[in-house]
Amino acid sequence: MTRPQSRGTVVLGVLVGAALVWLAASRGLWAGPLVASFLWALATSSRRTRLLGALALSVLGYAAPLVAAAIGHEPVAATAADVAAIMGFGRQALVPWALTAVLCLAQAAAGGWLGHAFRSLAAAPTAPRYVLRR
Amino acid sequence: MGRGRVWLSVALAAVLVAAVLDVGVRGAGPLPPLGPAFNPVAGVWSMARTAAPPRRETLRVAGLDAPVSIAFDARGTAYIDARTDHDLFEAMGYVEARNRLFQMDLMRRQGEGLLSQVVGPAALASDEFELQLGLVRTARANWQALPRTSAARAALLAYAAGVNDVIRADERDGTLPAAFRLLGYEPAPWTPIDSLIVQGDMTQDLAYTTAPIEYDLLQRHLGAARARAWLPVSESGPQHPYDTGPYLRLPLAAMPSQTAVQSSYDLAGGVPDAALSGPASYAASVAAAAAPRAARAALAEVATLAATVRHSFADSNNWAVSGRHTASGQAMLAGDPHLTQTLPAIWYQMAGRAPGYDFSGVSIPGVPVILIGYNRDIAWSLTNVQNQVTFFYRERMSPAHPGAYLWHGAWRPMRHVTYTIPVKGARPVALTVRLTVDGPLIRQSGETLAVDWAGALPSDDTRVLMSIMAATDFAQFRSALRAWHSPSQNFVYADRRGNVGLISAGYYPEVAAGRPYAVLSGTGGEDVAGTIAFAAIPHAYDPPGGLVFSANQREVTNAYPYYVGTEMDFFDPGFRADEIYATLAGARGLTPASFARLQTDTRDLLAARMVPELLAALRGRPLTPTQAAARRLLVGWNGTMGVAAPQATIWWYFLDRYVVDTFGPWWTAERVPVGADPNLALSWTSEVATPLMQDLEAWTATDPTNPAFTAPGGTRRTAGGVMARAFDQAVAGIAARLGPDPSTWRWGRVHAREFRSLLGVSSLSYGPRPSSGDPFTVDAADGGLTAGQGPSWRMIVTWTRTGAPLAEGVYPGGQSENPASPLYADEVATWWAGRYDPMHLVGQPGTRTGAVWRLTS
Repeated sequence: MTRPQSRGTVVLGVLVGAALVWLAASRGLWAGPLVASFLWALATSSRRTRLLGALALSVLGYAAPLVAAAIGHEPVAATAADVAAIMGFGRQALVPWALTAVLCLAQAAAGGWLGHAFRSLAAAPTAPRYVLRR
Repeated sequence: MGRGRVWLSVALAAVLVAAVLDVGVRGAGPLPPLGPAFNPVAGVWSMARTAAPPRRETLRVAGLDAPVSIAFDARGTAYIDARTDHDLFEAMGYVEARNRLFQMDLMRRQGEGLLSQVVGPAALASDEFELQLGLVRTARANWQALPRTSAARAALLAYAAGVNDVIRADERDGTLPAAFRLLGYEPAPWTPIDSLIVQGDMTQDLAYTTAPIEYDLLQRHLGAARARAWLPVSESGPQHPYDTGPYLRLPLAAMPSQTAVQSSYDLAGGVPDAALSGPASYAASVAAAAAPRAARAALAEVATLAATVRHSFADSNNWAVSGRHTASGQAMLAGDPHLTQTLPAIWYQMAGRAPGYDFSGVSIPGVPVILIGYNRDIAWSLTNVQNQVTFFYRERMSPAHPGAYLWHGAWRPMRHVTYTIPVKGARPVALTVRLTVDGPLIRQSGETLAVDWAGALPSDDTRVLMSIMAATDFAQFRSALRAWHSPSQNFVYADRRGNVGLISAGYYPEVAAGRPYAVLSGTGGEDVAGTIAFAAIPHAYDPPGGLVFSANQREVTNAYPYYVGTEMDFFDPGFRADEIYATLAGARGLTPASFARLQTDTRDLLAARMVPELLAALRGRPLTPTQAAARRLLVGWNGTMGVAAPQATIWWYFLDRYVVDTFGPWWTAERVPVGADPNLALSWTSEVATPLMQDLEAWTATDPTNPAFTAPGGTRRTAGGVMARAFDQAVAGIAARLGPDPSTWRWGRVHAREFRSLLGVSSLSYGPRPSSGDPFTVDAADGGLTAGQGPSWRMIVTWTRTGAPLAEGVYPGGQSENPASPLYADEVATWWAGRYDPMHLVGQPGTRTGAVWRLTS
């Protein structure tokens, strides 16, 4: 049913997925990791790559704009502290980081799992096992 | 894997996806919707992107007639160069929204009564109060009254277009201020009415007071005679009015009645009220005992208002001197309005040039005009007049006439307007506001109080300020102010030809009968009869002394033939005015540096006058070593409330005890309801304390055996005895807090200033930081031992010998509302040090030290 995917294909897929997540985020669509992870899991044959790839593209897609902002000398760290303050957490900069990570990882897990489940559904036996074997 | 297990896996995954989406869209518990909030590009993280100072950019802005240039200096001050007046106002809206959009939205929501919609039930009381008072109704009436061809209307529309350009761009680019994301909403398009509501917020802050209700309560508890004696109509202490007469006595001029204004309201189905509810709703008792309950309820409502829209302290200064006082021979003007000091600040600094304008100054974000500033020919600044413009009426109701009130002998139906207040996280709340000829009812709890507030009447402030921005001489300045009605303001003036002036413009409502400083009868005989004619209001132009000044003191002497207010809450005690007068009246060779010294002057004139009396009272009395050390410190002290001065601490604690020791026994014996109204408390932040301090100043000097010093039923006391007792208590109190050595009792150990974040977030605030000053110093620090009110903007303007304006200014804050921006609070240090930044007109050197935006349509 599926062919094994080369490492190069996997890496390229992750990068393309991350880019799409970034692009979606810049258009205000925050659920990019969910959708991308779902599609990734649906299209990936290896169980291991399915989970790790979904996580990788999601984290990369969410982290890249923040890293780019920091490289561009935008005050990302100060922003984290200020956001935490506005939320009532003092200046615990960890809070917005953690919430962003939770948002990203929860989407990756949920989307990846749903994609994996659908893929399993497609592969699941619809008749007695011996019939399939024949 | 069996098919059943696979389906189970699909189902569980789907549930997880649903849960993630739910938290992403709706949030969880105290958390905002996580998706839009923590989107790494368009969520709160965009704060980092918008934190940078302005960069060189070309921006598309719809609706411009021609390209507009906005240059910035290093502090982010905007210099707008437009080819049409329309473009100037659109660019003003654009640049203010780019820097203060959330602040602007918060201010319009405050006035519209729509805070609950975004912050939940905590703001409901504030919203209900605002809808009762009716800023939104007034704003709509103001807008409807603007002629279609008026320049103000065009400016308001252009400004709104500029704001909406930013809202659209922020939504498109995901750069809305983080607070929107965290509160989970997006700003509605800006309208001209929103600008008028922001203007209304300011009017309310400066001119709405509950002092008559408080006077009524005091009168009921202390008795009419004591209330009159202790809270007199005219100040008991010395005053320096700027307009010393002679005065005109002219017939009252007409002013719109509340009824006339109500007729322009869109009452949303407003009909006579007889069909509403049942008689029980209005079964008003006219029993006197019920009155305090109603009053207390009204006061409790006001107490829920945000600090920025409550009139609580009156501390602003402005003055101008003619050339004979200055080193340059040119006129010179100074202004420092004292308001609640917040981050971001109430002000946004800018300059603008277009065919009809060439100005520099400060604007309130949301309003398309400069309130304080200068152009090539004139300069102006404002302080609050403090005259009485709020009148409360006790309406006569009857169960036999439900929904009606007695007015001029006939039962008149109330009109009503209904609102539905959306409340975040709760069901919407319905509110019906009932309207009488005296104004809206602010409460019906046993009895009904209607409020006739001049701030509810239309005032074409936008047009007036636009005219002032373009004025070239005093005649134009004065002519413009004829149309200024609310809030009444002291407009100080100076021009490049060397003239100075001051006009206390605004409504001066006069009632037909009764005592306006208490609650009036709503039956018609005590209604507002008109306003003092413009020609008779306080004013001065090139007075013989070459000096005009205002510091919220009574502007006129007791010879003025009209009632304008009492000393309780209305007029300031005058210590700042006296200090300004003493410094400037005989001065020669003044420079901007002299004015700067006066604006940052922290001498408390009341202290300077009363400490010698205290020392005299202590003479010959046995003192403990600590008391003796404290007394020695006071000898020779000039009243300067310096941050390192232990004398300031001793004085302030003493003053507090002197008030409490004198009046406390009366308050206790007569059961003054301080619990219901903090403004009645014998605390130096209350409205009632200041006139009582003035009483003590006068009695100590001239009437030391006044009966007030003797507690009810107690042995006879005099001023000296009470002062000595107050000194003992003050020293004991400070020693318990700061230790036994008076030389270490520095004022900064107990007194600080704080510039609070508009969001109420302490870590985004500045301070508290030990500070000099007190409410009576020219550099005022008001609002408690951690002061939150004071000079919100300082400006000094003069002209060179060649007639070019020379100006400097500073406000404690920064141009950006983004806390991650270097321009969020960068000017606090300059303000704190008593320094100023140069101000410029567009195109002058120094206006292009930062980036330039080019706006094209």
